[in-house]
Amino acid sequence: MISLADVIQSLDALQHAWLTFQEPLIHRTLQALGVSTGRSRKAIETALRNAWVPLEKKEIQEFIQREDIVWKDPRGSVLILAPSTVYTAWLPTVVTCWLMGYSVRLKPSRSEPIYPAAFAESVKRWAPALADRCRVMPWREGLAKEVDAVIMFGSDDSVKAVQAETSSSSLFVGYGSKLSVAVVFEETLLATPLRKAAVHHLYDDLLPFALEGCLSPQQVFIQGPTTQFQQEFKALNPEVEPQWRHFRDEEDLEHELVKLKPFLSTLGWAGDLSKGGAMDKLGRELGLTRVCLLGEMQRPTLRWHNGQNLIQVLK
Amino acid sequence: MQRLDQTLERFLRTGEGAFESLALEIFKHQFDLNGPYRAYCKTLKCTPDQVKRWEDIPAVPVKAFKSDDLCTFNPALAAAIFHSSGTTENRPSRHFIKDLSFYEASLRFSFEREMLHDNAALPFMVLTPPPSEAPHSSLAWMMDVVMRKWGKAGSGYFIQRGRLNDFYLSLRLSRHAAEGQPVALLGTTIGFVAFFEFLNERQKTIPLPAGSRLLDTGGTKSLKRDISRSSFVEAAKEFFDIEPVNCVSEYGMCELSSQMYARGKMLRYAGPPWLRTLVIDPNTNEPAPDGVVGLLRHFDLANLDSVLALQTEDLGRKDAQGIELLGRASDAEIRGCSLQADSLLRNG
Repeated sequence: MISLADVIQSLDALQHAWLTFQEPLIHRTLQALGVSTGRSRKAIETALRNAWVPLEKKEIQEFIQREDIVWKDPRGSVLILAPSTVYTAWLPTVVTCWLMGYSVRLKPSRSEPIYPAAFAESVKRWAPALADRCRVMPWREGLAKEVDAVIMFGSDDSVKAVQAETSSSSLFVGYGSKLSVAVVFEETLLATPLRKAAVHHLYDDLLPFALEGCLSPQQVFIQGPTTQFQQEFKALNPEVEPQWRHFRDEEDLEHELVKLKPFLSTLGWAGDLSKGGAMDKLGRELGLTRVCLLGEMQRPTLRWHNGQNLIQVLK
Repeated sequence: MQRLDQTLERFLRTGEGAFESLALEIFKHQFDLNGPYRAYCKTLKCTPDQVKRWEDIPAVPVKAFKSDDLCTFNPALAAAIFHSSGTTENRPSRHFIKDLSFYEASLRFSFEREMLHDNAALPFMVLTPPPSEAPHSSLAWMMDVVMRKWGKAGSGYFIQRGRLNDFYLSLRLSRHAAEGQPVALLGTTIGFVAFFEFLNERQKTIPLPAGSRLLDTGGTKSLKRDISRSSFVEAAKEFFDIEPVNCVSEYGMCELSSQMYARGKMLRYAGPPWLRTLVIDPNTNEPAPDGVVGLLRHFDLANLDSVLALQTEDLGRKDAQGIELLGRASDAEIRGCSLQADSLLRNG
């Protein structure tokens, strides 16, 4: 038996460990992730920082209060099917499940087995109280029927396929196909420091996973000539090429985004901060899960619900 | 290390060797000296102490070659660096080759058996760029090796500065045909398709003398219109009078040091004795039984100084005759929950 305080303390220890890149286990994981993902060291470090920084103890405690999380021990088990592309996507889900009292069974993606394995090892080392609440296991027939809930990340087809295998008495949460966009308003382009900052922020949003994953801005809408912005971005990151789109005004922007509405997840923007209210309103109208400033797209807080409110489902 | 080199060299030269014991020995060599690979194996708890069968040697995904320098030596001392051609995100894979002699030995063994089994002496008409124009292309390097080793006078390259020199190729083939000189045509599948189109537009055929043969590689996946193997082989017959049995398809990639070959219309690929392939069930990550479709995992002992076990996204199935290639795992499976915005806009 463990308490909620034990879970919070364990998460704190894990957060400190995972943000210490010189720690041998973490250093080894960084290297191994370079092999499994093909990403650069810088991209991997950024992805891990983005994943773990929001899991500070203070944030966790606020999260519990604001989301009205009720601890119940034991509560049951959850199977999480990890994605291959955004290999840290499942981490907030594990944290949420633990805070509610669930045990987690983590099924790694076939093509990215490293992070779940390293995570489980880190739990044994720094959060032993949670060691028996975190098991990494391969897929087998019937696995989805043995748990109280199944949570998966993948394509729409994969989500449907796994949902069909889940017991009718089990809960199911599927995070399927989504994409995100970036918007750069004209006032950002007119002043060199603002434009350069926006270029760097876009770089930050595309660095960890390039164009993969539902939070990466695959399309960048620019209110004005795109050439200079494109060239400056390419100089920073010649390897990734988002789709560059032009828009005239906010009405035109909305008209273009409506075409993508069913698939949109997040919008990251750069412009005069007075536009914040209008962007939030646009986000609500488009059914976006999140509107944020450019540079923050890959750093959702623990409270971000990617379509489905996991806490409500698992209560 | 010298003993390992010699054992491998003998295997590549003669085709005789103990695959399993050598595979495990090379795995240990790579675990000891290839830092990123060692980290990968340790995380998966698959170390040389624990792995007792070649099938259990941890395979890295092809994309592993995009990031770190995946090799057992200082990459600055590489004899060659091969880059992949089709690239995602404009970042190619890089395969660092310490010693080209293993690469060459592997190539010679297979190529001679597949293309020169009758000891024919042929001019090679090559539809790839020369190595000077593609210094990081393993295919260009391969063509250079076979040209130097076996190409008779009259051999040449017919892709220069990115363009197929179709008119000149047509002239040369016609001359060889008139002289009764069989030839070997080697190149990319898309290069040949372009040449078939050139001939078709001119309603021209060039019946080549008996003994002529063709080797293609790469497939037509990059073309807007995919061409079946059957259609390709029929075109080779129509335009060159080359029988299907003399049409050889080569399967290779920059991340491997060895190649597989198949011939005719119904392609069943087989590789040299030091290259083994498992068909992996993507759901269980275990070898699938013969006849069942899965993802190809190659174990290439000639990859001595990188990683011998490679997990691809190529689909295939195995039977008694060899491996049938069935394309690539779908983009949806590879990309997971991310969508291609442009495909949405095309379809939406």
